[in-house]
Amino acid sequence: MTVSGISARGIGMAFGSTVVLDQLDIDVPAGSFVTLLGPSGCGKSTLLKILGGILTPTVGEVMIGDAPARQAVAAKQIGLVLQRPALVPWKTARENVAMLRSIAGKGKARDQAVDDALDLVGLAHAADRYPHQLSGGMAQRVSIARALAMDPAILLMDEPFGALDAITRDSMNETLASIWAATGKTIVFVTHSIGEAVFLSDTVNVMGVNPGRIIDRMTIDIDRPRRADLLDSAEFTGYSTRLREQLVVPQQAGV
Amino acid sequence: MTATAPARPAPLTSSAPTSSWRLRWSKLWPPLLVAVIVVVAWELAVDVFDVSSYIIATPSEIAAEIVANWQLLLTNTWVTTQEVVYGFLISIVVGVALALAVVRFRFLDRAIYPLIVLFQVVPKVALAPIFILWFGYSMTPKLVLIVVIAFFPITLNMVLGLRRTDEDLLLLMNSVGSSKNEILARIQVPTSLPYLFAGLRIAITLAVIGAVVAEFAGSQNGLGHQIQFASTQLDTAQMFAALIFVSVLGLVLYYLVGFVEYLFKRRFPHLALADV
Ligand SMILES: Nc1ncnc2c1ncn2[C@@H]1O[C@H](COP(=O)(O)OP(=O)(O)OP(=O)(O)O)[C@@H](O)[C@H]1O
Ligand SMILES: [Mg+2]
Repeated sequence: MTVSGISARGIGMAFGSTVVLDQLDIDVPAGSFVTLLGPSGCGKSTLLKILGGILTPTVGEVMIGDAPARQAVAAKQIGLVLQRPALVPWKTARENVAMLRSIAGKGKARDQAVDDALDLVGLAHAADRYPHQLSGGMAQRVSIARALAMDPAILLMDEPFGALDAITRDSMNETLASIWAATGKTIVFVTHSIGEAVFLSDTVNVMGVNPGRIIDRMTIDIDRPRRADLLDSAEFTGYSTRLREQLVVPQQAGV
Repeated sequence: MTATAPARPAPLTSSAPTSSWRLRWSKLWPPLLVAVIVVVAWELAVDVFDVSSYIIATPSEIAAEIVANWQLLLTNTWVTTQEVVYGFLISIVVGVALALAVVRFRFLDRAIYPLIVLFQVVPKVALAPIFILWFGYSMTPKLVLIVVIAFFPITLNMVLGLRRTDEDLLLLMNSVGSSKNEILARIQVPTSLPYLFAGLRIAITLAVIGAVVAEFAGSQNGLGHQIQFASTQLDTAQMFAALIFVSVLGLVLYYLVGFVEYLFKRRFPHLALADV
């Protein structure tokens, strides 16, 4: 697996007459963990889909490695965790995880990687349940396992832990950090949570609204591996405070 | 549709059928009672007002007619049943194929679908004489008329179902480079099946109408023909007898489709939940 970075230039996206993204540039270095942080409706989900080559921007260009993003899709390099779990209702958790993997040609429908992925998100015990028998948080974790089981070079995650309680969320953050450390995947991660962004990221892209654009990039220079007790350190609070200022001030100015 | 359906249907216990039967009975007896009253009143009214028997037959005359002509009624019922069942099966094939084609190919969606919808303003029953002219007194014109009438609700419902697919799921399928065919087969078709069944229930009643109308228009047997023939003889009792047989046939076929749907939902409970 060759890990590639993503580079997007001059991205603009409009739905009808609504301009959602305007003149946006972003770089995601190969193997890095990059976060999109911003208020609701600023276009994070839209940008994430564009970066993964599954949504074509109105203007602009997305390159993954040396090729247009579409080619990374064709090469099955993209793993996607959307904001909603979007599980197939008539398949069990295990079958859901296995389906995309087998379509992508990354192995047989039932092999160890499927169970490993479910184990990783703490759902080995629920593998045979159907989506309507899962809680919202469990369903979202199945969708994370589905992306992980694909073993993609690039992992795009849209508020994957949004539906989880604080404790599960912290432990999922640690799990994700260790998966990233072990596999060296390129990860683009969307979140509302400042703490989550600081904890996980190499770089945080702060997005502004109307139209969606990147108003600040902050590099998080905290040593890895990062542990949960980091959350109380002065270093961590420093970053959090600065990000919060970025998010709050421009919004008030805009209103 | 409830979201709380259990994973597996509960096994039948000895008490379950009794209680469900009692439930049925409590629902069944009021209409049954009304029906009995109507039949008795009908019988008495015809006697009291001395209505001549070619205007309306009494229930007892109809019953006597059924006993006397039992064999002929059964033969004609069998003829009509075959027409309806074959016509219905062809309608399923045509209806499903059209739905798949329209959803799969954008061009067909734009070129054919509007025509199919427009075609629904044609009173299709009025086509029966034309089909008789083209295909003669064989079974063919009946099948053609049934298909022309019955395919549409199948196509319409299936198209609706095929288009009900979760947008995000489509996005995920696209993200691993699935082909349109693969998405159709793995996601859209299963999602559409509960909708298809809704279409089938409408189609089976239309199929019975199609068969009877085609037999009116030109036929040498079948229950529709028997009604038509009896009317030329002013044999009202026979007309009503054949009418009862057509009605029962329609009812039985309708419940048969409902039963197949029930079996399907029991076998694939999660598929039935797909549109929640
Ligand atoms: N398919 C679409 N058609 C029309 N408008 C859309 C579409 N998708 C998104 N939008 C609009 O684009 C804007 C950005 O949406 P997006 O989902 O990217 O926001 P977001 O930053 O992910 O928000 P949230 O944090 O609430 O998920 C919103 O105003 C939304 O209404
Ligand atoms: Mg979003």
